[in-house]
Amino acid sequence: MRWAVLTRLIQKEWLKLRLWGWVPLVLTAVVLLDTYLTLHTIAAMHGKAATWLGIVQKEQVFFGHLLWVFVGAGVFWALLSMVPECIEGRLRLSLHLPADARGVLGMPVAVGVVSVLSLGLLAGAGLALVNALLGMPWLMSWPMVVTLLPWCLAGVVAWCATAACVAEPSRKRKCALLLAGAVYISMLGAYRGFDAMQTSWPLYVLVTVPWVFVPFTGAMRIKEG
Amino acid sequence: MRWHLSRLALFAVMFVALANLLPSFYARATRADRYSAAVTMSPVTDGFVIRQVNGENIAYTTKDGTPLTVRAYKAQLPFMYRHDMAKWGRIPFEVAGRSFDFTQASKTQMSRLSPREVNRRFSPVNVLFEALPDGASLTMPDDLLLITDRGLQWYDVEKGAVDKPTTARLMRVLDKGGVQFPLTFFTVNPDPRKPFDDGALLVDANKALYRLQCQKGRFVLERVLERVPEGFLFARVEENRRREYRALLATDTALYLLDHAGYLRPMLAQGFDASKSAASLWITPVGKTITVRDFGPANPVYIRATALDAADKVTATMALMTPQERLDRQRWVRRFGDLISPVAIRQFKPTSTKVFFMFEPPSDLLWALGGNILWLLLFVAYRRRRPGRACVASRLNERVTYALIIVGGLPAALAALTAGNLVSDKPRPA
Repeated sequence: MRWAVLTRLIQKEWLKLRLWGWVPLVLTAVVLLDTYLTLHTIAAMHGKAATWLGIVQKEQVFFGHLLWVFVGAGVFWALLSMVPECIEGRLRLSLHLPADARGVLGMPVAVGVVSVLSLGLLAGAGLALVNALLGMPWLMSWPMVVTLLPWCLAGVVAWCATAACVAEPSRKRKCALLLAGAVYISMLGAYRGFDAMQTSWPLYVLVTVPWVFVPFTGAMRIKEG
Repeated sequence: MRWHLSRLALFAVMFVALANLLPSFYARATRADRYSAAVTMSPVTDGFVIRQVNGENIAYTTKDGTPLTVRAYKAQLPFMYRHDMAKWGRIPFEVAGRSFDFTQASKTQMSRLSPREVNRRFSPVNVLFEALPDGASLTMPDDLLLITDRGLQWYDVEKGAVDKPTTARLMRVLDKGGVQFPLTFFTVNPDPRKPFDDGALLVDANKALYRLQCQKGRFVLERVLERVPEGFLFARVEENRRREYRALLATDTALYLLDHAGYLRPMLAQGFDASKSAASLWITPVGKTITVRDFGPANPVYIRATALDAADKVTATMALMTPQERLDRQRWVRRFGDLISPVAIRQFKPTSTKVFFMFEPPSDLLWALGGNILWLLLFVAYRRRRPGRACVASRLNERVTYALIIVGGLPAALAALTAGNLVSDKPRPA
């Protein structure tokens, strides 16, 4: 694909996301602030050592809301990106232009996946900052940050499932995609304490990777029948 | 011939989702036969008494199956049900030629050990209590004790930084005591409501067991064992008022009590396997009962019990078998589960606190294969009934789809219906 085409496709994504694309970032900041204030209050009442020890011993995940921030961000960004592509037969038109269909579809997918992963990095850094501001030792903070990894993958799945659902012409397949997405999010969002997937996260990454190709299915069906 | 990569991806994600969803829903729908049992040695009759809970019914029996009333069962375990004995006016009572009032009867201890606890990695964040506080009770320490590969660190939580002078003092004590890093185990009871503090137990790189205490701000280190038993996995500081023993130790196949003199007393826990067994230890002034129960889908032996006298000599053993009707029901439940999905993706183990990604194979291969053939026939019938809706595909596509359903059963059939043709003999459209 030529550089000129690539920059046009990136510009198209920017046009779609520039107005409302920042909403998940603000939501993440609000949830992190809420996490900080909650912990700050508990630590002020019970003492930091007792609070930190309670969190470590019970492996209490006090930042569980972040899972739904990732999932919500994935759904929101996918709708922003794919609805303008697919309404009023625009997708059919795009795919019949003399351009590589994989490139036309691949750019929104790449931007969506990179956006969710970047949000994951930002949220991880934000959580580490919250912990550092509260004086939590890094030994404690690191497993908490790593806990976000599968949730970030859940955000990627939410993006891909929503995008595939929007692009898919068949209603039955739309329902099947939503169901599969919900099951994956529930699998990736399952946690028992911090860094619960420490030995198995490569397998979760492996079974999540095919989702990146799923949005192409419905779209290519429009072209190929 | 052209493989549709995105449709293969859709097939894969649908298969994974359904292989997780269908078996988990089926397991929840069929999990109705709750059963639990407790076996305890009665110091009154010197025989085991059994309490079995099946759904809403609770049955009390002796070892040979003689039914007992609730009251008779409790009267046979006067240390466990001492409050009932007091209510019935049966205290003091006499057992093994000795008389016990309520206070003496209260000198009991119950310890439970689960495979989740045994197989969990020790926490790198702990506390060390002041063992000799000024007041009557222990108070929660203000600082944390961090365990790194190179040593222990005293962490001042108010400053949010390592307290270097205290850390240096602590490390001098550890170096002098011969502790080699990295530690392979560390345990402390962090509950400030405990009756007294017995310090922390740590196992160093040379497998030596040490006890670390803080007494009036001074660190005290004691080498308790030159070497922990082979296969050591876990220890717990008990800090019970009876002070009969200091800690409970578990290796991969055995349990030990560590007494205050530093001696290890092996507990003959029949059939104990740390990877799958839950153990309980019930101690009374006249003896002990150790029970071991394995986690698993259908173990023929439900629980193994060993009774010891006050000198830790085995006096009786028994194995309580799982009721046959329960085993039969579970076998049929699993067979029908194999019909629905030949593989199940499981995330949780009853023996671990972690999340996994595991493919569970079928329990009965014949039932699984029968189910897969049934779903294949239904799939073919569905395709033939609606030839206009299903794209006419190449023979190769049919063969690939049928092979996937023969291996993957219902999840594969539904995934194939969702994904459509996986292989095409048409060239890619321009």
